[in-house]
Amino acid sequence: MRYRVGIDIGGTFTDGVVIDSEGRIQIFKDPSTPSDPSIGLINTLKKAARFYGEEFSQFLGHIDMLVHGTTVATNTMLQYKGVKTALIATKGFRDALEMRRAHKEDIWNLSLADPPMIIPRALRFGVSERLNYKGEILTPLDEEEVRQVARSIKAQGVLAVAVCTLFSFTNDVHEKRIKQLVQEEFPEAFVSISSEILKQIREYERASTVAVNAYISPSLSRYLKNLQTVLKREGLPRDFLVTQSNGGIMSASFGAEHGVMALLSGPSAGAVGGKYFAEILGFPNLIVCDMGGTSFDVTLIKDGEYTLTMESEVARYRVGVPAIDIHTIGAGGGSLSHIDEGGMLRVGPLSAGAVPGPVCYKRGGAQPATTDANLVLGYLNPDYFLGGEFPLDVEGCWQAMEERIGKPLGIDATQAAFGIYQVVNSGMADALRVVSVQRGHDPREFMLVAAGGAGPIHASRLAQEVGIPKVIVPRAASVFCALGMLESDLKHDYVQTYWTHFDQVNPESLEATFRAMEEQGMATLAEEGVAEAKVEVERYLDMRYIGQHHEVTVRLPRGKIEEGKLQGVAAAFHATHERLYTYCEADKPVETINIRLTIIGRVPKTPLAKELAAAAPAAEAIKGSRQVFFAEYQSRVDTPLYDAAKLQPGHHFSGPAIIEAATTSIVVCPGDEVLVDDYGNVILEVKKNG
Amino acid sequence: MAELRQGDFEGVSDPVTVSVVFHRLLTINKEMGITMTRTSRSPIFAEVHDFSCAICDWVPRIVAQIDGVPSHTASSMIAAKAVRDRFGEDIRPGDVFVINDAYSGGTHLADLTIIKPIFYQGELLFMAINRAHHLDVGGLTPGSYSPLATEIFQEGIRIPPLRIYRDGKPIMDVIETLCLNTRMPDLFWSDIKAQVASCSVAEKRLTELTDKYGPARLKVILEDIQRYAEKRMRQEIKKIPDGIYEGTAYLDGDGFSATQVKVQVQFEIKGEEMYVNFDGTDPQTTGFINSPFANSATSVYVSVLTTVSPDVPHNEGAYQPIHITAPEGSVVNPLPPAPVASSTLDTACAILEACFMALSKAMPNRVPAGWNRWCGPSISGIDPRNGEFYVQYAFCGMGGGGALPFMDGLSYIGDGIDLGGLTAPNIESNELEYPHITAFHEFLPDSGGAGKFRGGMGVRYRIQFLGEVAPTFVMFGDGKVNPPYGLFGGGTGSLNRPMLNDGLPDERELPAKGIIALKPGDFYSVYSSGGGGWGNPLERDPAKVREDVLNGLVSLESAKNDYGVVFQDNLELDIAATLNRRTAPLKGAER
Repeated sequence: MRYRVGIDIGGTFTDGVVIDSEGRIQIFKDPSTPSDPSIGLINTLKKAARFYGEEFSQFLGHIDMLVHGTTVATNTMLQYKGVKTALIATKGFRDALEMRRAHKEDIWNLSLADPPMIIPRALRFGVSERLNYKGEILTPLDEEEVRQVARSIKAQGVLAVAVCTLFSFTNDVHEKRIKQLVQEEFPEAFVSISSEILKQIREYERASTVAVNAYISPSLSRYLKNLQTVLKREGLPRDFLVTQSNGGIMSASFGAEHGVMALLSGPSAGAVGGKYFAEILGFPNLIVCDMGGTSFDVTLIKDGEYTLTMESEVARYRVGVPAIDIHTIGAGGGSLSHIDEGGMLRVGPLSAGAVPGPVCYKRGGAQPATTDANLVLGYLNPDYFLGGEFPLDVEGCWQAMEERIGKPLGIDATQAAFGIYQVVNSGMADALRVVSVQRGHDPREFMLVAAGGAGPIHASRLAQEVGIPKVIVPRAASVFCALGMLESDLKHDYVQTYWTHFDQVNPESLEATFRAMEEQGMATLAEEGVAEAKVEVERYLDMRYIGQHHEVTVRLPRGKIEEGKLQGVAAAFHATHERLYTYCEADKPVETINIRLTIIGRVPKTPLAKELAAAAPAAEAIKGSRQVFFAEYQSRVDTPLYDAAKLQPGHHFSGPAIIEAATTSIVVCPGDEVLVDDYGNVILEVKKNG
Repeated sequence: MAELRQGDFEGVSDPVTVSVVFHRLLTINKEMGITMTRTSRSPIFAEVHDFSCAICDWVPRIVAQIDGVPSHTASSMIAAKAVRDRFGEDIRPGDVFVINDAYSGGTHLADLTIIKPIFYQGELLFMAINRAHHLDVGGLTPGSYSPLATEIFQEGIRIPPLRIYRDGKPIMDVIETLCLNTRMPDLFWSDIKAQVASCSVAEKRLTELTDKYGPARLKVILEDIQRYAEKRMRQEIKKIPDGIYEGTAYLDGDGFSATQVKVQVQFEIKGEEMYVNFDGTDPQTTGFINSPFANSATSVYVSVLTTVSPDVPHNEGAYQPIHITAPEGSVVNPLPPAPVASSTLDTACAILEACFMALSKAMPNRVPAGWNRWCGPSISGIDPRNGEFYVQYAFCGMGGGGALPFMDGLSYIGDGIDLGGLTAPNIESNELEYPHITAFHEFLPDSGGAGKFRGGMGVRYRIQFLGEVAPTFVMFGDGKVNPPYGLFGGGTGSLNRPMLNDGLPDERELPAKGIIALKPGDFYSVYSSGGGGWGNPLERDPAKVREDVLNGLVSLESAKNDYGVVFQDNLELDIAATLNRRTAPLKGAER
């Protein structure tokens, strides 16, 4: 037997998914080990080896592909625990990173301080050199100055160096030379230059991106190299792969130098999983939501593709490399409720976390959280949380609900819980609207994929609220990200400024520039061991009306760029502008700003196996009933409980119902229709609002 | 729907739905802003975000306003009312209106407010507002900040409430009249279209919202949102001790005379009500610092909204308990035809400072030390690289923010009334866009006021102009005489210092307001104000002072003289000498 293995390290559990050569899926979970995440990873793999009855080394030897989503890069940034890093910039411009373009995220909040500086001013150096906007050298590089800086930072115990000079995106000669000089003086340092990470105008965004890369890469590199050594020693015959923010995967060795590409390593896999679902379901438009304990991540998949953003922020640092557009809000099972001074019920953004957790965890939590509301409403089974490993405190939960929320509002515990449920849903529904309606997509053309432990409890209502007709709860909802990893391909993005009037674009020079980027991508893929035959290339142009400052990215048709094809590109630009902003100006001149190229190395995959069709009627999966509150009745009704493990393809029934799995609970609202598909996924046809 | 009535919370019948609708309105409001940023042509919108969006109800009262610069807070709502008063029943679906005149409901002429009424089944339910600062609306000098203007007629085209779209289509003869009165007609019209697009996005979304709740129910909810905001604001005011609190700030001058201009404000807190008057404020001036009442009221609201709890909604309900009066003919409530162009920056900042000074006596732990005032030029001319006319403001010369009792001020954050709402362009975008080369752009050491918490840093910024023809160069700003104030023992921030050709034999310090003749190849530098400090600098943690010294933000001299912190030769703290120095003043010795 051969295996493909995906491993996602979460806050509580390390999730493993194994697909064998027959296409069968197995799920493995083991507690995460935050001090050294590789321990939890190895433990999970060992669990899998035991399941397949193989020696650990034998099992590793049978692995064709091991993909890992790591939060090391994210956490290094979120906790500001990167290495001591220096910045080299053009003399007179070393402060761009800290000036942040005078941006303040929350204008009205006077007490919002700047984020901690990842490179303090004392470690930011200006060196004499200057290019103009065309990339012409106005002041040559003072090489001796660079050497002095390198020697000085070496003496100060710096481990990483970021380099960002003005206009290096048009001409990288100075940045490249600075890198050489620093490496000569200080060979141990990790050096990252902006023209290699983000070859694009706007020095603040570039400096921030390269600074983040320098700051986090050494930590990620240490982690990945250590893991590689351990896995190799234990018998893994090949390099493992790491998921990237852009939805692709990269070799661990490439990742070690490109930490900034791994900032969304975990959640991006959820988006890839969504994309994969779009394929197997034959339904190209999905909104994937992943609700855990503290956050709610939303990604939109349109025509089988997720969108990328070049404007993400991590730990309040701007990151300009392409990342899947994942919208995150602080809403989860642990979000705490309270009554504000105006008597308004609010939920979040504070979270109870895992400790003390919601009141029902009985670990000292006193203020009701979303999970408590779900328990009071009957959506959760107190005796079957985590498959019954973790009994919930019903009485304490009711009491807190009544005391802390009900009494101040003059209502009972059930109404209070329902209030919390509605408020938290409304925030999540807004998040769904942000990625759909606000970007010009009609939610009625989408299905909602509910993942994460808490997602399926809220999904039906969210869909109803936003107008999404169907919800899919994947069989592997709770390990959705790990599954997504196995569907990823190697992927690298390149960008280069290409600023010209669109009607003056020279097809030959454009083609040549694309070709050069393609060669660079091929070389990287070759190092990662992908044969040329499986390579795909996507070409894009960032375009705008002359005078605008923000671009619309337009994909180019396949094949060589020729004169005749450019008209269609312009038409596509006008159409996209109209969809996004309610109007276009087809008679106005257009310009190109950047050219973008994505290179993909396809990884072979086994198709998922379908499950056997149901032999017994759905009613046989009913394991009991419970009093559950639904808005439609304004009261509790006796509601059947289905055992998720016993549901099989072809099963069909109507809400209200609760479907209980070990790691989640699916709330089926009155009027919803349930259908189990060929892969064991639960599909809800949601009753329309009103 | 569950009935979630709170016993003592009369009025709001259904807190959950009210909360849901209110947040939906805020989301729509933000989407208006995104549309504007993404589609507009002028860097002042797309890069700098010098605009704001708001949603009004049918009255019209502002319901939701979260996007955009604080300096537009109240002025947008007054503009909407002006349209309603002028057109009354003649407001129809498919209409779009514009207004800019300071004496008809606008503020300075460069701020064009676009108002789109939104109907549902024939009934006026909402008005979407987009207020944006256009680079040129005519007048004496390009950029429409003219220090020589003595009447508003010289500051650009005056537009009363005016219909510019009918039945969803632009009324081109009217548009052309407006365009003819600016130096940049193409840009002007394109940017108006972007403003209208942002209102159209709101129209789409608000119609969907009304589909969902129905107009009758929605109107009840909108009333509840107003009531809720008012209630929240009343609770916040009630927490402030009753009493009379006064504050004063001075403007350097009006550009014609060096006489300082006084802004005097008095807050009277009486239970849940707040009475604000400007008695004692100087009369209106010859030059362009006169602040229309809408602009003055905005500054008062900003001072209150930023010091009370941040979750009070920003809408008309919240302003109900705040009663503002200002003497007619004063610099904070001028009579026509006094010029007003610079009031949205200079005077608004001074009013905000006076209000903060007053409030600091009532709420000592919530009010910041002084923020910087704007000081810089508008630069215009023909770009020698492409022959096109351009107007640019030197935004990269922003200064620092004031310290608070728990944090240092923000560095390079922009003037007080904009509170960090303006984003600075990149040096690269600027050099690509405009014919100049930047020599340096970095923090200015010792600019932040000393304090237990230090003021934010100003910057040093220099640009040299390209080409054989010097650009037109107009200074508008303040803060060369009056620095950002310190609070509770904190030091003042540095003064703004604009210079021409500094370091060369012909160097000269520039006035804060004035038209300056340049020669080709001249360079302009600004050393911008840092923010004021908070608390006694001798109480600042010496480790923080050391960090500032290592970071080159505070000099060794300032560390010693202002903070009483002494270093050894290796830049380690000399703790004994520091203690000695810090206690010395108590013994009456020289500090």
